Amino acid sequence: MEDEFFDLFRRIRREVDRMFREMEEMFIYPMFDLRSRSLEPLVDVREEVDEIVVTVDLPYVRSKEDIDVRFSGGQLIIEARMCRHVRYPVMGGCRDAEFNRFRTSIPLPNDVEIEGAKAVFRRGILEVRIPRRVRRFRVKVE
Amino acid sequence: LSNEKLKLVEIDKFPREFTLVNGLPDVGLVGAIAASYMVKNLKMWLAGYLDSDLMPPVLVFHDEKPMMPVRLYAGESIVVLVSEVAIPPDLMPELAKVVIEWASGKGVKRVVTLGGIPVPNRIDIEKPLVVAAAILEEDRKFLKDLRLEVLKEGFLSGMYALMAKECMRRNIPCITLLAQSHLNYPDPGAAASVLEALSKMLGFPVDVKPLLDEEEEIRLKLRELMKRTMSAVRAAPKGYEHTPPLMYA
Repeated sequence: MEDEFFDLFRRIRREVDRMFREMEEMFIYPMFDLRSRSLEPLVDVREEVDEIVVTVDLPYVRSKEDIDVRFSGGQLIIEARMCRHVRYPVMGGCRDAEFNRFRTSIPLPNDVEIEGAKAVFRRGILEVRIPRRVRRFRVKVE
Repeated sequence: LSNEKLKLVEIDKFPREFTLVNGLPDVGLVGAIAASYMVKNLKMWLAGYLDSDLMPPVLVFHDEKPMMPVRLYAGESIVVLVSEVAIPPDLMPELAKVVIEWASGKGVKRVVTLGGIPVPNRIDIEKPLVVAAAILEEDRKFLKDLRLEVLKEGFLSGMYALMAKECMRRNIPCITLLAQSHLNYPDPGAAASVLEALSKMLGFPVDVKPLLDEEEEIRLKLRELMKRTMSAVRAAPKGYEHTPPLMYA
């Protein structure tokens, strides 16, 4: 009973953390990281009943061999190498920084089955489909 | 021209007769990309701006010069409205009223709004289709004569609808050009499609090849504006474009 309570509490906390992080990302942080020399790509997360569909816009990424998709600590981590270095204005355009990769981490809900995930890269857009654990029950219509 | 919330300030001359082209940030930044491409390629000059306390508190610098983020550019017979910030949903109705009232007073010939209609299978579409919604019957005939597809049943929503409604109230010719687009990724391909349709309508030549050549650069550079625009789009009552209207009410 105690375990169940703390498990539920941890799950709620993780969900709240995820929501706050999304809000913070939306309003505060720039979309680049000077330390890792990486750009943050645009990401769309769609939560369906039986799967999570994550799409990522990756301009200047040429092939699937340049993309690394992995799961760690409840997050989907995506890294991709661009085909060239791009200069991006920082410090109000007074300085340019050079980047050649994208990196993003996307918090996932608890009910995903990461072993069943599939990814496709087409026309500069990566799509990752991750199935969710779903209890299926068919209701007989009378 | 101003009301309580918003003012439009003229800082240079406008043509006597003109078509007003709206390219405000919305889904796929289609209108915004197309409008800024026009400003860059049609030798237009900065002629006015819009300002409000309800706008995001930003000032934009280009070539070291400060500029208001929502601006009007004028050309020989075209005026283009562009914005470098997402328009706050609360300000959208006022913006539509002030802009159309001002344009009406200036003797605008026609208002054209450029934008995108999000489609889930955009990734499979090589060349996005454009659908045009017109307020006046003669404009619908004009569009059909140009072999442009005309919206028969459906909704406009958000900024596109507000602009069209203001024109309808004042009986100003208004056409909305919407290209199939990504919802939340900048879509230069869709912008190229609406520009080609606009070029047919207005009879000015437009070479969209440079725009398509720069597609990846545009997608990269406009990530932040796209992200901010999506938060405004989500807050505004959008998404009606895929809703079939009630027919027999």
